[in-house]
Amino acid sequence: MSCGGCASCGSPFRSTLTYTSPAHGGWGVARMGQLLPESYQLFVGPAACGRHGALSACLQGRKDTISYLYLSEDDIVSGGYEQAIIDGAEELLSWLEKRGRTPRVMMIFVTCLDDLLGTDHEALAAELHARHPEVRFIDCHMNPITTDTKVPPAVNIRNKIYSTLDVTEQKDGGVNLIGSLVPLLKDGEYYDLLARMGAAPARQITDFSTFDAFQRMARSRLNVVLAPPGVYAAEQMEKKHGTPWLRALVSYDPRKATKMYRALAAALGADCPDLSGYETACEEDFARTREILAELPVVLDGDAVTRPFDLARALLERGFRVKRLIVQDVAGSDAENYRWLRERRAEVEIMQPQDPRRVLFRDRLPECLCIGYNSGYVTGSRHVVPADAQQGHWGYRGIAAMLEMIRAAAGAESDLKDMVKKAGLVL
Amino acid sequence: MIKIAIYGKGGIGKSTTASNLSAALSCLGRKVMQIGCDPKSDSAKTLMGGARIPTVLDRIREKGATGVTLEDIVFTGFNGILCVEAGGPTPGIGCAGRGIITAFEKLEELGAYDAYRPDVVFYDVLGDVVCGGFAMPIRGGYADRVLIVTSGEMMSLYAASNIVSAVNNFGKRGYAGVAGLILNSRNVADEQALVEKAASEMGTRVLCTMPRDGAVQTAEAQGKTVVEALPDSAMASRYRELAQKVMEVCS
Repeated sequence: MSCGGCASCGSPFRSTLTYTSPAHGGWGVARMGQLLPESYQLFVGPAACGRHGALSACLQGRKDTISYLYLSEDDIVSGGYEQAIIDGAEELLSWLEKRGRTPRVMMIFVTCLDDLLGTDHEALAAELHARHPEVRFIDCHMNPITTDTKVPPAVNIRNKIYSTLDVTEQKDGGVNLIGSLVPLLKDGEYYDLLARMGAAPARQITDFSTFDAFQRMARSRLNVVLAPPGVYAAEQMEKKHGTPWLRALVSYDPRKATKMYRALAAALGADCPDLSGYETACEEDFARTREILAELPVVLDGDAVTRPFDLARALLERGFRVKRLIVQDVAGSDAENYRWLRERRAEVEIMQPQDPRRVLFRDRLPECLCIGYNSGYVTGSRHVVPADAQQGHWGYRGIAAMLEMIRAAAGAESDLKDMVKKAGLVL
Repeated sequence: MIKIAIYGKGGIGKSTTASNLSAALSCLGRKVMQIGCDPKSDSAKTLMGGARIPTVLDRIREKGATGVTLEDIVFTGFNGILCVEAGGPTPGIGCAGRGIITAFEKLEELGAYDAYRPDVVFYDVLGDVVCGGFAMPIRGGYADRVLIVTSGEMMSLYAASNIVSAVNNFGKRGYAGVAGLILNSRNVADEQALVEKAASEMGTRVLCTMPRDGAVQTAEAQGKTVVEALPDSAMASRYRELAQKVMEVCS
């Protein structure tokens, strides 16, 4: 969607120098990879490339699942790179084995450097697997150089995770909920509704603590994609397992949640249960929340939810005073909502969080409610909803959960520094 | 589908050999795809009536990584031969090996082999296996066999020996194996014996000897292969014999 910032089309999206705020949220690929049960990561690259991942692993209590192999110039020019990986993996496995911590999967994380070397990861993995048949080896990539390709890092890692599912003949009536990084709220209506459509159990990777249990996801008859970065993984699973998939993205508009459930029922070949009560309850919740906020302006950011224009639209259509969005660009799945906003509510400001002008702090707005840490930082707001990476929201329950968080933030003063620390965000 | 990589010292006649092999096999009823893996991107020129075709990297530069389609990069040349040029960076800048990797990834992403289902694929690769990018054509999933074009000249044999070493180094990984040498004669004294001896030292053999023949230059001046321009010539017959031999050893 970004036009590069030409003056004529009035697009708010420009290519600029990049600024990263201390409240920048989101998940790094190493953290995403750690969702795979009983996996261990060997990060291979120049020392500087591992800094962020290492610090966040420490802050988030995940440092026992990652090790680092730092490369030197010699490793690259001598052709010793692949051997360095093999030797590093061997040493690490021996160390883990002595401590009774042999992983089921070793993720070999490489950086942009690897893209230039043409490493044959398949051959490398086969060689390591032959020496350690009890361990699977997969190559994972922290290579932001691929950001503008069809398979950027956040998309690739989801696919790599699910690529470890083995094909099975033992299919059941379950469905997989993929794409979300955070567990869905366990009291959500989706489990009951899906079961009434004949789709049970509903499986999410975060449900499993062992690699063997995770393999049950291969039995499911449908992959339901909750967030756009999961689409590629679903496409690949369809090729490998023959499992069809359906896009059922998170929306904060109750009407869209209803539409999504109807599409799910159709895909499952079932009748859709009566949903009218859910939609009404959501609308009542919106009205109650709007009353509490009164005229308080709302600012939201793209780190908090995967489709910020969808959330903004849902709020604006229900009378909330959405003043500003802090988003870097527009995802394809949010484009329709972006167009709606530009056509119908052009007064809503759109700012890019990575624009270096953010450090001038001309955008302060202490009296507002922010959804997301980054918007809280930019505005200096006293009311911040601690939302990051979609928070496990989906369905009507997800809408209610977001509204609960908004009400809670409106009724209390936020300590953003403390929030950022607790969330383990690392600059 | 048989996939064959053709290596050899720069200027030794790899593209001429590959294009004539493609042409000869297409005349034998095979569906052939020829992929030029050299930044010079002139592999398929004589299959395209002397015209250069846009390369994969050209198209990525024009349309962005996600905008390229198979129709943008696969061109139909003489007798239905499918021609692709990987291309490369601006000379002297960038990384040619990475260019080959990108081009191969793009062909795979677009499902080129499934879409066209060729019987035979030739990878016409630049001089030597200088880095990971130029080893790409012999990796698992790509070429099954490697042909090396050489003359009896010392530097050409030296390059051939290097290529054999590289291929053998990768042997344990199940990469392509060397099928043999093609002697592209430069009329060096005792050339046949010299190359046969070298082949034996490399642990391989000479599959076929292509004589030095003006028909090649005559055809190239017309922007064609010998097989297309001078099908009744002795040299065209030699290329057809070579094609049969290659099929015999690579099938």
